[in-house]
Amino acid sequence: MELEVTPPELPQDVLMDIFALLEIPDLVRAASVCPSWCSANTSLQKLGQYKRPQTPCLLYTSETDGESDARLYSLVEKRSYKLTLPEPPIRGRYLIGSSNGWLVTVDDRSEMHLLNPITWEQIVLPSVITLDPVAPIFDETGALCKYNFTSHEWCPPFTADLDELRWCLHDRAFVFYDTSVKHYIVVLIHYPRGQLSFAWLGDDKWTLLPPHRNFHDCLYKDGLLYAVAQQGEIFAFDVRGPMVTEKLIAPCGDLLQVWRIDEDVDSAPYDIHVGKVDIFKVDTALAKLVKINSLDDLVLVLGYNQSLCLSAEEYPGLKANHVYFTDDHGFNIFGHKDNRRDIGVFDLANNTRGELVSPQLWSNWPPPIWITPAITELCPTTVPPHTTTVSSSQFCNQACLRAAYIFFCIVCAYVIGWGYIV
Amino acid sequence: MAATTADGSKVVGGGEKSNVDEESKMITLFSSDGERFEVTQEAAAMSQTIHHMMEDGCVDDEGVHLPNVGSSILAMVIEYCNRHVASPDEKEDIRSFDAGFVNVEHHTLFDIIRAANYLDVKELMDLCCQTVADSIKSKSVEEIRELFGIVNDFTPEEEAEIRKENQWAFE
Repeated sequence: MELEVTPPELPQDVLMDIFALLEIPDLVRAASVCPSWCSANTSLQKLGQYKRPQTPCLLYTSETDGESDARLYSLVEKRSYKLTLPEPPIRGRYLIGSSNGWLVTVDDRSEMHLLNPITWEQIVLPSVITLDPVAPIFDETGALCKYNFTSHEWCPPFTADLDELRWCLHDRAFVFYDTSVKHYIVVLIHYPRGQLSFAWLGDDKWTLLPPHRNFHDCLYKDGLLYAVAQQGEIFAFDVRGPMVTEKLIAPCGDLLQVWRIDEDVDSAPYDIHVGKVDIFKVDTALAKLVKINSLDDLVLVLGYNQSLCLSAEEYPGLKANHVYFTDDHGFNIFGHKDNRRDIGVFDLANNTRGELVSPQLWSNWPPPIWITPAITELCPTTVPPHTTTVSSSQFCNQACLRAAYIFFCIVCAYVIGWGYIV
Repeated sequence: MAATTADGSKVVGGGEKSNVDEESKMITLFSSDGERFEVTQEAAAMSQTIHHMMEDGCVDDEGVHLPNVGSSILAMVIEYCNRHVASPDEKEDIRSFDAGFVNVEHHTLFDIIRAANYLDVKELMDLCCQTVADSIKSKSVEEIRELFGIVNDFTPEEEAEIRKENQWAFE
């Protein structure tokens, strides 16, 4: 007769090694199996040993859900998770950035927050009135009622309602972690004309970067803030000291420049439909672009999130030599809230685009955005945060494997009839 | 493929020759239930535990007693080590062998993990941990418990608290 014996448990350190291999949704479920597994996960987190790279998910909202509900579509599991997020309601916010597991949002008073949809941690960023082109207008009771916005040096400032300013002012935002000073920085690209301002977490105001304009994307690596401007020029700044200094760009691996080209399809005005993707390697020594035809085993994840360049080998849910994209054209996103969003997967080998998931799960507003889930605390009370959340560690991994790929993305819209590159 | 020699000990060899090569020194391992295994030193050295013992001169003529590892599991671990030592560069073959090796009942897999942990065979630990992780992926909490035969010994209050904290993952 065979005896039914409950198998003895695995040692805690072995459970920790197993859990370290799981992505967040699986880890959360594993930790809920029994007290011993829960304890192993707690130890794993406390010791800062959970460094598993996370596959990006698509964060979106749905008209059938509540105002504070969002959904995460997992590219690994091909299913959605429903999250109920803290106030203010997510459907009323602008989503202007997503980096390292953090959403950067703008509420209906045009104020910005960082929000981690998995952990619910939320941080208020410096007030919008500390941005250079903005001044507050108070009513007779002394309460803030409107904003003054200086859109151009040669135009008089105009007055915007509290929820109206965000339509004119905010463009994109990023959250980076500097490993040398062990601190987080938020970078905002805003109007007029693509200025760049930044704030270290804990600052009470934004600092405007000197005088370059028309920035479109940026990245932080090895203590430097890299920013690319509309025509592809790349600048590097050291923003750690009391004065911002501009640096010469030293070759530090491969820089990629990506152009997403709109194709002419029969559609609503300002409806973007990516038909082609061109990728160039930037030769900083010779100051020229070299077209590349394949990413080999790399994958790009582009949109209003911080651009990601990942190795398909580490992310079984992603296909090599493909580009996963959402809209990144600010005018289309914020100017046309009902427009169809350009979201899909581009196969670079065949130059064809495919659907991410069909039928469409998402509401067009707020526009869906890629997010890399993270459970690291941004502001822990005791232990300093770890740079585990994806982007910065990905660049470190790439540097170990080959060269570090630093990545920029520029939207290039071929508008048929106008016939020029914007 | 084990052959029983005249004195009753098992020779679990991974090489092509059926006779022990004079140059590849053998070491004797004893399982917890007293079974005797002759293994090449090279294969045995995949276990860091045994490797350190050999280096420190702690292995006498009798061999190494492994009171924590039963014979059936030890035979499997030895088979793994022999295979990996025999043709380390044939990646396709090794991958295929590994896939077959871990295709066992979960309680056997856990026994192998415990043995590999005790013997400190890193490659085998990595393989088994990845296998367990792959089994967990995309499963619900109840499915994981059933798969591994784990009893839910949370109190109802503890379970409610956990579910509340990460409710999104359980739907």
